[in-house]
Amino acid sequence: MAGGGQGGEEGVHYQRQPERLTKTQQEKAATAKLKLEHFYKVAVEQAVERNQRRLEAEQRLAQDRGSEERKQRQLRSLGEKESQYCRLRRTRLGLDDFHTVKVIGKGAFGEVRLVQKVDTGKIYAMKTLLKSEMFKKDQLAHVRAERDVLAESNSEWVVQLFYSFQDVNYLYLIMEFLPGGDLMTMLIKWDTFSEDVTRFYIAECVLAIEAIHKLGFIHRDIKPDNILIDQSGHVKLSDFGLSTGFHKTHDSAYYQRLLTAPKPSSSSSNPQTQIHLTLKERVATWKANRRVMAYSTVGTPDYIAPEIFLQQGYGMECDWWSLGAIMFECLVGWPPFCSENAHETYRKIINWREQLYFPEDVHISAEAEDLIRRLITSADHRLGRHSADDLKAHPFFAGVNWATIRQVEAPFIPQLKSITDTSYFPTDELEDVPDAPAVAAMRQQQDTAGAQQSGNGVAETGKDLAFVGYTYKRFDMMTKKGMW
Amino acid sequence: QQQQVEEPEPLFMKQPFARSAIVKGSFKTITALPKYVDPNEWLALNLFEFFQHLSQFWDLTSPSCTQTTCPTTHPTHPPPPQNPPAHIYIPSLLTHLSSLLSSPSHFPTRHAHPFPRNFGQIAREVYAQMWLVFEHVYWRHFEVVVDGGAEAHWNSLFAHFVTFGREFGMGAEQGGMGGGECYCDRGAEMKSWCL
Ligand SMILES: Nc1ncnc2c1ncn2[C@@H]1O[C@H](COP(=O)(O)OP(=O)(O)OP(=O)(O)O)[C@@H](O)[C@H]1O
Repeated sequence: MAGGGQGGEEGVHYQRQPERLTKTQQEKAATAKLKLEHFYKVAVEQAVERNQRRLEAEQRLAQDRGSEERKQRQLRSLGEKESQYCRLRRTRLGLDDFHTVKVIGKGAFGEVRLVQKVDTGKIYAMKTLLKSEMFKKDQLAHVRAERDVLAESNSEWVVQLFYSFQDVNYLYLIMEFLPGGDLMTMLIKWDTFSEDVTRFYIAECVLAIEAIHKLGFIHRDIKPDNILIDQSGHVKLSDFGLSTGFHKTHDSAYYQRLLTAPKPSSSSSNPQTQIHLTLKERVATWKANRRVMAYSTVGTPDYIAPEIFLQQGYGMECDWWSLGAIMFECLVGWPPFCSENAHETYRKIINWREQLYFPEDVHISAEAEDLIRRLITSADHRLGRHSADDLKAHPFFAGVNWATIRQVEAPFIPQLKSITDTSYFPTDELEDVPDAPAVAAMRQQQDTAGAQQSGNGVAETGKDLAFVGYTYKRFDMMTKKGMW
Repeated sequence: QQQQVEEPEPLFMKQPFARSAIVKGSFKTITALPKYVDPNEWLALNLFEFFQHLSQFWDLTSPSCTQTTCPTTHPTHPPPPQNPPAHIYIPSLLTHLSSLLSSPSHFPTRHAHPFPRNFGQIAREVYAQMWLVFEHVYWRHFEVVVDGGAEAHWNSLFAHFVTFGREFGMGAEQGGMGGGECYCDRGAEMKSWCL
């Protein structure tokens, strides 16, 4: 093929033959190309941004009246941050770089722990996710990419993801630790909120949901357990994408099961009592099971919009339904379609027209009820289907200053004794919560494997490139918060 | 060096392959040491990234590298007799590099851990060994890169590697690395990328 010729001579010397490569090689070529393209694109952006940071610092210092020595110190400190960032980009992190302080949450695929990074002493929340349970393998990359985008968004309304790494069995996500716990725990403690307090949380949720919609995401599984409270009492949405919710909402088999399961009265071991359950008893059962439900694989469908169940396609307005259900719960004390089991809840959500009902003994203002009714309604009538502005303009929110709400004082501000204070988490209860079956099975398997093969190096700690993405938004955030 | 001129020109020197690149403009923008940044930290990051990309290309080409295709690693020169065949030598080189790059005493990653005193020397060694891999792939497996449609990417990576090496005195400018020579000086196109 290679016709001999002098350098610089035009003409075909070699015919490209992609079919000579194996399938694996073709894939490798494609990946190598993609990665390199991405690398150069980002490298140029980074160089530009790094330059800007330096110029800004130099200009700021030129106008500064401080001493020459102080200026030099500041420039050195900028250089140190840039250098540390370089280091971080080639750092591979693994489980042994973190030390567990406490388990603070449990889920179907693993758990959430408060951890401390060994070398810096910084505190984070680490979410462990059992890979085999989450996805079919080929979905993993796609979902990771999706969540990376989100992590890089650097929105104040979304829990920040700092690093992620994996080993054979688990994916580990190192996130910022929000010491205030979640809205579910708060509702368990307080039962209901006043309308003013409800207005605050729901208004913040409106902004949070709007923020993720603007990024092009639909959460699909907004519920009180996913609404976290930061140090100053403000709201952030828990990371999502790999969550139970994601799995569930894409699992048509799950809905099928809900659909075809026998009605509770016939399947129950104790039919008499269940048939005659009053609302009060039903709520009591629901409350007693609230946390257990949150930890189970099945989860609670209480906040999921009917169009998701019906699998006829859905849009971002499904998140506004969930918000309506949460608002109802804040004011009434239980979610609108609360039942003793998931099947019953599911049936009620499908029949929301007949099933949505406001208890007479709970006082709710006309504006609040109207807002809830405009959210818990069919997708094509739902408030917010055009934009979040429609919600913001609703009379219930009269007086809310949307631009500054995150800066005002929150109704409950966590009182923390230390950076590792976990008093807003049900850590004692968690000890008794069993692992989800798949997680438990994996642990057992690891334990026996460990016993059999100890010292043989099989259980090598997975180390993965720590950095999720490369953007400098990340740089700013990490330096601002002193994440080093 | 004279005798090499008589050899048939390798595929990577021929058009359109020699000219093909994905990055236009000067690599200096992204290789130059940013002001106030610790030079060791910068070298370490760059070597680390080159290694990541280079390994990917080796993964692509390695199935085509056998005892028969490549009895020697070195493309043009007669091999020193002690050198193992490429399909053994290159992987061992890459394994060595990988462990070096992840060794905390050579390439520290922990917070506030210092670089070793002789880091400059280590960096040059890492660079020289990566050079050998670039060289081998260019001389022996460039067809595979072309079959994968990746020659533009590969060329750019190499040009970047060379620019970086020149900027930091890694030895590339001497044109004698690994007994080979700098390809940049051979093809006009390649030369223009490396400026
Ligand atoms: N970044 C964080 N900081 C503090 N606590 C957290 C954080 N992330 C999660 N938690 C706690 O852990 C609990 C479970 O976390 P999360 O809801 O993300 O996981 P999950 O239950 O496995 O998944 P999902 O709720 O999406 O189905 C939360 O309700 C919260 O109490």
